[in-house]
Amino acid sequence: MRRLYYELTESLRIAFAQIRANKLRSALTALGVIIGIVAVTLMGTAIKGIDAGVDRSFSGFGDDLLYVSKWPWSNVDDWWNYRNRRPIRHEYARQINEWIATNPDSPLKLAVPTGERFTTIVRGQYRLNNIYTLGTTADYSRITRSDLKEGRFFTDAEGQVGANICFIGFDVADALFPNESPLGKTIRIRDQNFTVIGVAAKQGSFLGLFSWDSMVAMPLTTYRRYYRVGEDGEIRVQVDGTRMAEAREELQGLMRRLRTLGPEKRDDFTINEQGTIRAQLDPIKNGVALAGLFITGLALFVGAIGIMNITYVSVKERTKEIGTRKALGARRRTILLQFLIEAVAICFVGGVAGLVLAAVLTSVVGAVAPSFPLVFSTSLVVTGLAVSVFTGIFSGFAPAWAASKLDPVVALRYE
Amino acid sequence: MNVSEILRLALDSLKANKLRSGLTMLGIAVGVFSVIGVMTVITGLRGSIESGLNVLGANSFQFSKYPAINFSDPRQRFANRRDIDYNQAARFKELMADSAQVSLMLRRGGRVAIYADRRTNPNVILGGADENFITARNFEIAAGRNLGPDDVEFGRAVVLLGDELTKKLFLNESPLGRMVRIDGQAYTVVGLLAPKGSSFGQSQDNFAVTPITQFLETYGRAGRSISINVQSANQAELTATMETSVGTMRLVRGLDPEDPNDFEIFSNDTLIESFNNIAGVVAVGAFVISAIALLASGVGVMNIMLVSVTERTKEIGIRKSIGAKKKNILSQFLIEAVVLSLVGGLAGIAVGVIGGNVVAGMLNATAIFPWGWAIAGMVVCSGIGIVFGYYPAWKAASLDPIEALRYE
Repeated sequence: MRRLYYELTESLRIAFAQIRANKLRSALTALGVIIGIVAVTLMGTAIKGIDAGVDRSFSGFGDDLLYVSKWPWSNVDDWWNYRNRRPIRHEYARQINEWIATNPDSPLKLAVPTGERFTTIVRGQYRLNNIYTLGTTADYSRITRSDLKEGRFFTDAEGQVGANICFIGFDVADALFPNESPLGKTIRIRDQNFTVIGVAAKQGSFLGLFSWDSMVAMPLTTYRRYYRVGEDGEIRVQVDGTRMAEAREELQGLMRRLRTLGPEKRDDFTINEQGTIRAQLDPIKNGVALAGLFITGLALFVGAIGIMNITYVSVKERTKEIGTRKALGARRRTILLQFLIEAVAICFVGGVAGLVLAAVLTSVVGAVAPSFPLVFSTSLVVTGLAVSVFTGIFSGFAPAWAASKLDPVVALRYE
Repeated sequence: MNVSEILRLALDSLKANKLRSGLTMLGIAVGVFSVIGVMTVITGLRGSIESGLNVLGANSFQFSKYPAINFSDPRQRFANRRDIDYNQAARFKELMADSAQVSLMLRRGGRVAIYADRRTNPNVILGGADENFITARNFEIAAGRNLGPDDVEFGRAVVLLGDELTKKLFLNESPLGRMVRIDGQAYTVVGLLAPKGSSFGQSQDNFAVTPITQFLETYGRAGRSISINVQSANQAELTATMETSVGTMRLVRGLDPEDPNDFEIFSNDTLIESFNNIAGVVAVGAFVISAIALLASGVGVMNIMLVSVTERTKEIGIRKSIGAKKKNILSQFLIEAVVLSLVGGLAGIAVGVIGGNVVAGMLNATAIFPWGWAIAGMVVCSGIGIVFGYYPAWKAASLDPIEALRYE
């Protein structure tokens, strides 16, 4: 054990002396690794950034919400099946809430009815098209994830009387009321005046995915006065996020009872959750990630080849030295360790430098283009270091092995 | 010392260190493979998308209410435009009759075509068009005849069938002269179109075409906006024709001089161009990322050349002391570096083209050999050899012969 320790420190000393002796060579070799590590790490941050961006875009959906609706959120082939389903009635929300009141232990928490469509909003000369318009009850404020920027959400009383008031998203407020507070001002939706009572805080969007910042919410009663609710009727149910699967089953059974479906009938509603949409994005995301990591991985591979090459050169130059050390009683293990440590050390230094560079670049990108979220994390640092050490072992092993197998007699004679 | 001798020297020293040269070349090959492979995939994908965008006939362009490709603007912006109605379109055709071939076109999807006891799924497109439809849309008549001017004039209930529709409705008999029913209206089949294949996974053969007058008669005129296809006689007149027809179009739409155009104009080229705007950004990004490996391999070349110079310090000293000039030493090592990069580059191009086409094949894109990228790859490789070989070569060339001879 002690002996191994001595060998290790001795190898370390020799390796570092060697690296110092050939400064330019070691630096260039490390540069190869640095390029590779920077490329891979940046790709990693970009992929994590895409993840984070998608997360942020979807955070508005809520990961503890189930959406009961007629249509699934994915594309369907048998269109007519879904088309002919009965509408989802807002009545169900009240019935679900009653059931929740009698079953406090169930994973279901709160049901909120909604109607939704895309409308045009006008204020004076400003006009916004395709704004997500939501009709809901006051309970919506309890299940939503968005924070208030100013004002308030509407109350139960306002919801029941169907006042012409609305709660708007950040981008809508920004576009219609530049440099002023929208509170108490009026906007026009479907030629009706609505008073703005609250503004949501900015949530941000990513790569043009749907953003909750461009939305308008109004009391369901008001919404139903101006729009026919049929196709778009939906119930959002907040559930215990840790008992998602159970909640889903419970809700399915409850909905079947509410819609009086016989045991032989198929569901005539769909329970959606945000995972459904994310599942559709996943293949694209994984494809991009795979291709990106493969291509940047090639750069790292080239760096590894450089290390292998330079270690071979190093072994060849020091053949005589190896012969001498072996003749004096050095074991194969010692020689192997010496060269391996040399390669790993270069890689490690390159890896650290690469990570620092990547961190700097990440913050630069973050400052220049804040809309693209690069995420630099500790797990990335650990992975990066592990990869660089592994690269050193991978590329240094063959030359080190060749060195350790040298016959001392032949090596000593080498010119 | 002549070039061939320098070349021989360089090759000799590469051969002397097979393992080292091999590894360096492998590095270059991987770098080049990365660039060529990625660019092959992207070029292949672009090629197949572009050919899918070639929907119009040669030298032609099209007027319509809505733009053909629209990613940014909301649809409502265009929805408020006036429809291009039949009166305007017919007048346009009349005015342009001398200078170009004009084809009017309307379409309605989701139709069911019925013949005897056979019926299609509700996904047939029924087009209303005129005698110039065939050339405007790049179709060919496989059997029977085209729609004639008199068919359009009298609004006859005749129809041309797309290949897919023909195959679905008629098994063992000639469709010509038979009656096909679409939306309760019976049409006599007068011609069959040759198959054209699919574009973006969408079949282009699952449709029927009837005279536009008949179409308007059946489905009414309200709320329909006609697409007008204009085909000039040849490439040279295309620009002039386009200008004339924009003027004519403004005339028939009754626009005042200060009004902006309230219609869209597009051709195959503008379709491809608007697609290329996006594809170009993607290609540049992919190129930058894939070129990183090439950069790393360049560093490898530089490193190994430095080693090579150090090892042969004595040799350089001898050559210099017997009269070799700085220039000779420089070119010797430069050529060594360039040969190293070029051989690796060739291997990389070969593997990259094969790998890229395999991936492109998996993505259903057309196989291509990217000559441009291959040549660029060779140039870049030589460039790498020169750029990254220059410093070691320069270092070797400026060695002091006395010092070099003394080197141990």
